[in-house]
Amino acid sequence: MAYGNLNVDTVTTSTAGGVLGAGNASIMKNRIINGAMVIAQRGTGSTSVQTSTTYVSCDRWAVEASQNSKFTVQQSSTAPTGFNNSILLTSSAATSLAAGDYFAMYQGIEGYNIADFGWGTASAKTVTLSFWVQSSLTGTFGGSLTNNAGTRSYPFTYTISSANTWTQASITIAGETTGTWNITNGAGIYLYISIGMGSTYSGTAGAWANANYDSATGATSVVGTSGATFYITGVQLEVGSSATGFEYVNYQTSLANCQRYYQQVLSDGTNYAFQLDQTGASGALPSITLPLQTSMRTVPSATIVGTITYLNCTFSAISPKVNGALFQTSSTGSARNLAYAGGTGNGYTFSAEL
Amino acid sequence: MYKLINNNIDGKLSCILRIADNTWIPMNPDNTDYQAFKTAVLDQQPNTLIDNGDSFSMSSDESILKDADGNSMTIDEAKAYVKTLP
Repeated sequence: MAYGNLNVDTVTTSTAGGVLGAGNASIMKNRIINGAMVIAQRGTGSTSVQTSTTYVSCDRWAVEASQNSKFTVQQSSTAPTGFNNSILLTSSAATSLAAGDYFAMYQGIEGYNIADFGWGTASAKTVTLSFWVQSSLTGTFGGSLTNNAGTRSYPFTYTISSANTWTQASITIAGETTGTWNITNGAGIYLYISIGMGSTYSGTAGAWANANYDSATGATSVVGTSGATFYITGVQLEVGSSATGFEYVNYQTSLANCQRYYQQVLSDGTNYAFQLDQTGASGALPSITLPLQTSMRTVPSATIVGTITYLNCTFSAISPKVNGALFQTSSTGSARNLAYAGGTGNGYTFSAEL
Repeated sequence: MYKLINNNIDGKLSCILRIADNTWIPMNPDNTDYQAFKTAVLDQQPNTLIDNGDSFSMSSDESILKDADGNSMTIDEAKAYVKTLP
């Protein structure tokens, strides 16, 4: 019995000879999350970076500093054609670098997302890092790729020839055949973009080293000039020996990708972030589970943000769980027990950052 | 500054409270906040206080663990205790 004819089209990539997953495909090639700096759940304003500061600006991008208050970080709407956002790092002082100083932004890439690189094996693949950058300074700037343990690193340089002009940098890196590279839910690779690195953490550009180098020797120090600016966006790390066009990711996918590492549920002035409403005798523990928005990298740390209002109960504890966190109160009477995050900006966050 | 938190089911240590930002940290080796807690104790970082009324506390200036009666543990004993955690 015949049911008719079926026409079948073949699927090809945008580049002749390209192979899906090998670097020339148009989708799922970028191992950097939020490379366009669009998602900023924690806030968009300027933050002065302290030695304890890590994640404060665009999602998945952390900062590090060996001294307090030497630069600020914020999401910016200054961007090259095709982008709408960037990260802006601004030097707050003219800081001379000691050997052990470090000032940088970085992203930890989960091992699952670089497992196909084959690094640490004879089949290690070549990768290419590309990004758009603009600075008030000119010169040779630096960064690096390192493994999770900081025992293998690849310092690189790139050049900004014209001040305050967007420039695209591209660095091709031969696959690393030695070292240990995490391929599960820990950090597989750290990408560092340096704005000032002491000699202890700087190495020869363009070669793998058995050391924890976060930048290249001789790179320009942005923090060395008070008021100097440094913008970056369009960060892409892909398999292959050449940079291809930046992979566009729709907003909801990019947000969900970020929420694997950090998510927040905050009241918006009209709607509560959560509400517990139970009746319990004095001494009972009325509780609710604060749920995950998406699955996370590992069991997250939970933080209560702002003010929670309690009626006939008091706060008891938060217990992080695989599926979120248990919010517990302690009843002070047999009447209705209420606890809720109303107002604006009150609620909870979950963090499972690398 | 941290506080050890026992659960109210079996009374066993269940998570770590980082007091500075009211963050409740699971005892999960993959959680980087938990890794930082253990590092703080093992490296005797300043202001690493562990305070729990029915367990142990760490002096912020001496960086050693104490039991509920105030009996001090040596630094090695404190480190050994943290090493028993997952």
